[in-house]
Amino acid sequence: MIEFFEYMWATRAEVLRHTVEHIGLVGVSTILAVAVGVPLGVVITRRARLRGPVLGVANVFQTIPSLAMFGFLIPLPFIGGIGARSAIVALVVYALLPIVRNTYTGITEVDAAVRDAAVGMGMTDREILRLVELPLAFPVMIAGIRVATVIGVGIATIAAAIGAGGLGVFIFQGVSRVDHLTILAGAIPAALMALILDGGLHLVERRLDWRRKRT
Amino acid sequence: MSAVSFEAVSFSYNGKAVLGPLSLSVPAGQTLVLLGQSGSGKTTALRLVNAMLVPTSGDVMVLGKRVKEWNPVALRRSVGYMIQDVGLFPHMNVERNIGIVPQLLGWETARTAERVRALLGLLRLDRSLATRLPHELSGGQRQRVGVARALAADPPILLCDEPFGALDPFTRAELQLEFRQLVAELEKTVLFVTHDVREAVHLGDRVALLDRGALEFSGTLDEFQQSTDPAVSALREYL
Repeated sequence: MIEFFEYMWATRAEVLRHTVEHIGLVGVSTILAVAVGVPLGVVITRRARLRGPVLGVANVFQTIPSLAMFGFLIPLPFIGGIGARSAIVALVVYALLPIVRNTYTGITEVDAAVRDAAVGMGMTDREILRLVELPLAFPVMIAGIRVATVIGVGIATIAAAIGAGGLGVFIFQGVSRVDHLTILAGAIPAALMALILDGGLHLVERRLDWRRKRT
Repeated sequence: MSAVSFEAVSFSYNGKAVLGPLSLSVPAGQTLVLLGQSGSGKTTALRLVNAMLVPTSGDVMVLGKRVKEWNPVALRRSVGYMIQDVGLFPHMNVERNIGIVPQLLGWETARTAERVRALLGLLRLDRSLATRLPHELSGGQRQRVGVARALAADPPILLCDEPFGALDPFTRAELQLEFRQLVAELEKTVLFVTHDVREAVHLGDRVALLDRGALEFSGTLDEFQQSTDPAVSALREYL
């Protein structure tokens, strides 16, 4: 235990740098995944024919082993290669399913009577989405983003394998040297990061929940 | 002049006839009750008026214009709409719920706020309720908010689909009475769907009886109460 803290202190500059890299990978990829996934989730509530294919593809992406995914991306032009860009593409792909699915579920779970009233009040489809469906779906959508973020923190450790940096650097180094302390220097900050992000987004989820009275 | 009229309107769903052909008109300022059991097509008839459904044949006229010639959104904003489960927006407080149609119509905030205050008074809702969410209200209060919301932009026509169906008998009787006075005072034209004969007699100036999509009887309340039509006299047994 003491040994671990001594090691962390000695390598604090590196720990900090890799932690920042890690946050960068997860942050950028989650934001991109939200930017792509939420509109996709909305679209499949409007175009039933697209629902199967979109969810199916997102589902298949989820099943690709992450190390293999990073490997596949290396030879690809524009989106691939060695480094952070490939890593972010892979992380976006993994984050899509929970975000798309929860956006879709959140919107379709809106009470039929409420949607009927919205149409009957003379709301346009966009107004229904903006004023009724999205606000009501928010807690479910945030829950999906939460899942995506936590998964992202874990998968981002593997991004070190393709030179994207992050806390995985310690883990890969530690594994190759059979050095527990180095593995822990990557694993423990990553675990803490996952817990903190999970807790933080949980708070956001509760704040946005319309059932809780605003003060 | 009739505010709403059905001209040989029929509606089929998946090739199955649900309603009609129906010809019926509602004079301006009167309340027409569409009475019938479930599956009689009464809700269908109501939803044809605000273009929530489109007739298979025939025309519904609203304020002198064919429904198919109206822009559906504009039509719905000029026709108040109330449904059984109220359909209040659960994430909006009472004030925002009531003010939603004015908001959609682009009213200024101050004008909307003033209108909301007036409606709270009209529906005898305490002003302190304005900031409550729907789930913090009683069933009767929610339904009052539903009425206020339907009246918000002062539409000449109100469509009501069993709005008082889920209330306890006392609250229901109270709201029926108030609703009747209110629409008479405000000279609204009302189409009111119910399966409850007593409610029909309480609220209607005219009654139309629908049975499996066909119009069984249509006439004034007096005519309804004196009709010798066997279907109508059978219903009067429930009074």
